[in-house]
Amino acid sequence: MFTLGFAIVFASMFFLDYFKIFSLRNVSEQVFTIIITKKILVLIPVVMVAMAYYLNLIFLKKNAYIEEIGKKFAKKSVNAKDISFIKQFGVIGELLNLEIKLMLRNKRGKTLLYMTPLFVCYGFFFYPNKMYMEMGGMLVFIGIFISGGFMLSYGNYLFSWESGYFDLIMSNNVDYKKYFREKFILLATATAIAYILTLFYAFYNIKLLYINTACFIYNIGFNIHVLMYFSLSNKKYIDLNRQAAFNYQGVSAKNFIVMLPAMVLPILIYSPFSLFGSPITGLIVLSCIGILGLLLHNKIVNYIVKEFHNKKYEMAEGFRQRS
Amino acid sequence: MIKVNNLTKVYNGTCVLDIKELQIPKGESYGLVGNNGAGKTTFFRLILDLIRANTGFVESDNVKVAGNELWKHYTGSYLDEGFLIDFLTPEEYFNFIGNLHGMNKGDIAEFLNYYHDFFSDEILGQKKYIRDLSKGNQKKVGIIAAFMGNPSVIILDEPFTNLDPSSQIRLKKILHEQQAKPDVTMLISSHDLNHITEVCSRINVLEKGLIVLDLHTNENTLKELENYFAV
Repeated sequence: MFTLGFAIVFASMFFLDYFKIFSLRNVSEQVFTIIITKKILVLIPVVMVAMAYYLNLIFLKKNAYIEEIGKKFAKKSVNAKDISFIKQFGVIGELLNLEIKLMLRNKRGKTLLYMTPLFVCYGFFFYPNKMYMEMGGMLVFIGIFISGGFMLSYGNYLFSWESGYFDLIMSNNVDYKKYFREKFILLATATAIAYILTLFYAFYNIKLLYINTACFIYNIGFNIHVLMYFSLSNKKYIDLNRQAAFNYQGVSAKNFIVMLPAMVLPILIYSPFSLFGSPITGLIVLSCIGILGLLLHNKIVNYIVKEFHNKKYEMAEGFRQRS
Repeated sequence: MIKVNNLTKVYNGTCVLDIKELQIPKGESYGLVGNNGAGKTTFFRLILDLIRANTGFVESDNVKVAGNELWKHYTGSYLDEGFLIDFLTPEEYFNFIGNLHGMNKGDIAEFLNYYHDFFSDEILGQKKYIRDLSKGNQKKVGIIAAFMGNPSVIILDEPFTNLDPSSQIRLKKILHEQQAKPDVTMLISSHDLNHITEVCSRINVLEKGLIVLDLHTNENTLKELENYFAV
């Protein structure tokens, strides 16, 4: 929440400056110039620092006992409800129910959920710019991102989210094919919801409807499978209760390597067609790749399950290091 | 029921477990004791296919546990908090595990009712997530979840640690009841020599990864163990 507020303030300061409504730059220029010329005024910031220190000291002394602070933040009542309509879908429903609770009841998961609408709004930054509207490759990149934002952020750490109870999954009677199918359904549904939200961009320019649709199909048919496969290499433990913004726990260089095929590959596939004057063909190719991925879904899941059995020991070992 | 053959595990060049041969027949209550770092948890993890063995294998009911999922249908276990889903309430957790074992709502309710005393009103109906329970209560949740679905193999790693005295006595009673069932094989590790001699009919002492003592429990066993550990 704090980062959101900070971002809003920062962004608005930038906009105000850009549109010459209010320039913080000019104000600070004047303030510092005065201090440099009349050297005695440097005492003002010095006194401000001293006061800040003193105020902090008083605050700490008053609140030094942790149990008293705890009483102020009384525990909210627990929301222990099930999403009942999902549960009727058997094991997959149970697992979905669990994973949704995972996101709703943990700081890191909640933050990710709140960020997803922002991914959808990503288009606002680029679409107004006439220049970008002509660059097909760029639009494809944006198209992948706006429907696939959640998929990329969550799918990257697909198993790390459950690192806290991975041993349970390994030692209990979980049907792994269903386990992977459930993860696919979760990611695909989130991507689909994001895609539906982006449909309104079509009112701005019908071209966007075609591009975003092709990207959506590519996302759920191809990218999800790629992410699921690469997430098997993620072995770092993630503490779900730690604050999420700027929390780099569990992030490694490998995660960024996955981003490359997911986001850059579609551009590479599309661009030749666009350059040779038939961008629609490029979109059709992307969609076909996606559809192919969906048709081969079962085979792909079987393959990933096999890889899982190879990698599960390292994953479990990594997740046990709760540092 | 459980067969171990040439099982070794090496970490960073050090061999932490080396069991040439071990057979735990069906219905036995097998106790494992050893000082810290002896390899008890490593051994249990190998039996549950949570880590990869360097050599050898573990068989459950004549089928290797690695590369096979059959044993999961009849094995209940609790080793550490990695077996708990901390953002669920205990009820939700039991429902989840129960569903994995094919129990319906009625079965689960009956099951939980049976262990009502063990929970002593601190676990069910509290509207608390598992992560907000005390360590002892968390352990209770995990131990009882291991009994769900009528397992024929039960593996518990130091179940008595962190439990208050009344709970320890109740747990001993529960374990005796399980031990009385002829089909149930129990594997338990503990630091408490008293408890383990009361609960287990066979006790192995593990030292630096090797089984150094294999005893069938009688009235002298406790003295023998105390002598061994009185360095």
